[in-house]
Amino acid sequence: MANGWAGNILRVNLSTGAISVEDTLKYKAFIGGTGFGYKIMYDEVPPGTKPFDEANKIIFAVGPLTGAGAPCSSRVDIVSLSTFTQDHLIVDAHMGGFFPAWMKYAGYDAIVIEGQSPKPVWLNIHDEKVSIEDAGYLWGKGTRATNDEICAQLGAETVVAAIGQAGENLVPLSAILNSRNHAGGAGTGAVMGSKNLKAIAIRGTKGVLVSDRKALKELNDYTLTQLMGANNNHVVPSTPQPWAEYSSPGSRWTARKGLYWAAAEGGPIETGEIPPGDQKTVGFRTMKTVFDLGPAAEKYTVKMSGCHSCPIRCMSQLKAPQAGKYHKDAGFGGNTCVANFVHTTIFPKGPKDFDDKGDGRVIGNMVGLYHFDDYGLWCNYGQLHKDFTYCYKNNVFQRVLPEEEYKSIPWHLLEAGDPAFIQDFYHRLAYRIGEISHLSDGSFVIAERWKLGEKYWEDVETKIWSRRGWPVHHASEANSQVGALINCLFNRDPMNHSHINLIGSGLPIEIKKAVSGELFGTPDAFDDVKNYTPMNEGKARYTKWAINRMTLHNALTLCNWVWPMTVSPLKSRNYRGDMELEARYFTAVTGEPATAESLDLACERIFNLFRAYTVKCMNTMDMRRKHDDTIAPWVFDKDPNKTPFTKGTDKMERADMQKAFTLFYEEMGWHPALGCPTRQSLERVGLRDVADDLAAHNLLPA
Amino acid sequence: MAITKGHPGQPEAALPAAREEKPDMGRRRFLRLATDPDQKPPTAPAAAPDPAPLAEPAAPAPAMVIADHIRLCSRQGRLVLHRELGEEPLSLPEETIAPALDDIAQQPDHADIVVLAGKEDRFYFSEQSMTRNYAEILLRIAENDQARMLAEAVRFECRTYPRPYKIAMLGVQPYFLDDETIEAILNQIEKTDAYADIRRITALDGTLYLFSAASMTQDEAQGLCDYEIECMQNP
Repeated sequence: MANGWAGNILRVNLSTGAISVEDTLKYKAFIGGTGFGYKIMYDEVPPGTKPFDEANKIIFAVGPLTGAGAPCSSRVDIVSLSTFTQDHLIVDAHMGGFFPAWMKYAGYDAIVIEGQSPKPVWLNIHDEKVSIEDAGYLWGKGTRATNDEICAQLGAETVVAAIGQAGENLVPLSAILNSRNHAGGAGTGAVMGSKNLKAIAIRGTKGVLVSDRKALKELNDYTLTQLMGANNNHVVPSTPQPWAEYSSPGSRWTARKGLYWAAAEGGPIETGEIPPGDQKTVGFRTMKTVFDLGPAAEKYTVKMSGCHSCPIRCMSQLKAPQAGKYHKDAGFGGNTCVANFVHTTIFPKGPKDFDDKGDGRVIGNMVGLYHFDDYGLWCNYGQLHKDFTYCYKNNVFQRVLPEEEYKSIPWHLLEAGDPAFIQDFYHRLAYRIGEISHLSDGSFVIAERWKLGEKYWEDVETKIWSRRGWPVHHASEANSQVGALINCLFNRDPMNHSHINLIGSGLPIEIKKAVSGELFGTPDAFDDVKNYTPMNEGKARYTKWAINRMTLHNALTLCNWVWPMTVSPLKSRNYRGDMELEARYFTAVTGEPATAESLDLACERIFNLFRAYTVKCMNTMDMRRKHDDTIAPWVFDKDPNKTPFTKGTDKMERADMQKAFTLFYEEMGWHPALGCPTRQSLERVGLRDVADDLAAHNLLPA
Repeated sequence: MAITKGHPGQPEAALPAAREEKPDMGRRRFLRLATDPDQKPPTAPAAAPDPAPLAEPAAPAPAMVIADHIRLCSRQGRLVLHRELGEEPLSLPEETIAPALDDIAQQPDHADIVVLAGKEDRFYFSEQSMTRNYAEILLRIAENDQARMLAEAVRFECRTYPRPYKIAMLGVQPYFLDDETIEAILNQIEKTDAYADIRRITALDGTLYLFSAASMTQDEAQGLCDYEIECMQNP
């Protein structure tokens, strides 16, 4: 056991039953988390492997900061092959809750699941004691019942990551759930299901060795009093308040006078004015219930909750008896962000209200959320629901569903905004009932299967980003070419908040541009909302920075929804954050000296490895044409009465986007026309072996 | 456990029977202090009587009295009007006020005390716990020229962030205005030449905003309003 790292990687082969442990040290150059996952996949899962093949692996990897006491550090990167995007390439999912910290407390930096069990099993980990248990009695149960059964056997302190019926039935848009509502998506539930692995249960009694506990404590005091804002590191309140120079209605710092956790035990608690500087009140800043579900959610808000070691508390906890009428356990619950509010977005006339105006959004979503998380479904950042809406509005269901199936679906409930429709719909998805269940195969599949045609890719409201099958996720609407590039480079939506956190921070444009100038060499790297300028080298540096930071957080692990601390809520700091902070935490915990620059190099190593593996699996060097430049046409054709680079539109220009690709490839040291890594770019980051491997496959440019 | 009436609580509903522990209200008290500006801070326990009584301390100088009062009020989120200085609770003699204010202006210890000139009075606040931007909002509220208050808020947001002004913000702190009042203010703005730059605009979902044509075009304002809706759809 080293400082930070547990020192052990657990391997479980479900085909042979073999359980072994190997030393983490051989992977340390890749830090942890996503770095470990990519390295293992590159070395051990050959191109051509499909997600449900026995040869595929699923890797749960954490990092040196996980469970060590850094804020927002209970994150696990789950790496495998995509179940839902074109070519089924490497993807990672990101899961919070308690599972990541518990992995470290049991003594593991990663858990590598290999092979395929002949029958349903679950994995029982109690420190060094690891066993494969029969899961026949669990198979068919939802994630909650699975969690309850295992905890009843092993104790309430057990943390269980489980799949529901969706994963068992190999639904491509499925997830793994731990600690009730914390999900890892990207189809990882189905990969686990394909291995007949129902759950991983962890009990851990160890700690994490920290090199300099005093420095860690000082860093926490510093971070929580001077740097941390609210969720997504928004650093201004949502209303004018005495302590704040600025405010923004869109800020997630929602605490204010007159806003209550109204259903709190013991009586309502006012969130009030929470100025920065007191680390004990950080958890009151963000009231995700009303932020996600509207003002009606206030009366149902019990409190906010969240992951292990996170002071932000972005997980809603609601109590609404009306939801309990639809399912006995749906009256208590909550989640965050899209998972909180997406369920009722399919209602063409909105959800029906119950007692108060707007409460339908709360109650309908609580019903939807309960079933969604229990089945272990995954929404692909809301794209599942957008695809449903597209198909409903454009009469696709009438065209593609068999008549008997079409008649069996209670469309009148959909029109009425009744949550009972959601119950029926999710049941069909989870159990793969009927043609409609193919919606959860993902956008790439249904576009082909249901012959949606070019009209689908042109639809602005549906917001599919890539023809390879993933949605917008802080793309062209988020700093123009920067967000657009970020959304092109992965094999799913990028889950990158490095740039959007700065954009949404709530600070004036002058400050954001000044920060951009300091970080990326020019204020022109930062475009204001719908006020875009042509591509420049500063934007290429900004893009690389955003990817490096996200990669760093997925490796250390830290939550990229809160990190990096690019800006601060304190005027006394001139609103500047601290870009050395991750390195200082790394040094304090591991004892190994690091700087932002040295960690950036490690992140480039990780990202280049990812890129190289994608090149290898696609068997092409032409990443520009075959992978990156697959942006849906609406991105360039929206707002037909406007031209790009004029105020009021985020419409992009095709030629400029090509320049964006070129400048970014150059920034990365990749081939400027093809966009693939070169020998020089790989060797610079310590991947000579990868360069040699690509060369051997004729996938390295001359 | 029933929810106390009068709060924005939920309909009475029985909590699950299994839960028996009660919340520690002693810990809750700390949080009330942090958010309740009217709550007085806890006083120090009374000291034991000193067998050798000390000489009575000198009364604080008027400058200190005024500065501390301003600081207390700023912590409570309010401005101090000049005319208050001669009223309860300070009740300072008129002839001491001007010299005291001069002292405050000159002493580095009171550099945090800022004066804002209103139309009919002066207003004071402390930058230790209140920003100038917020103080100016309070000043406009205090002067009760609501059309000007809103117009200046719109112009500030359009210049600074930039973004149109969401009318719904008038319903929450620090304004707490009702719909009828808000509509009256909007009508007043539309009738006043001095506010000719202030225009209405509606986002995709019908949410009403105002923008200043001095800082942005209609197209720009529309794009920014719609962006807020788009952010909620793709958070």
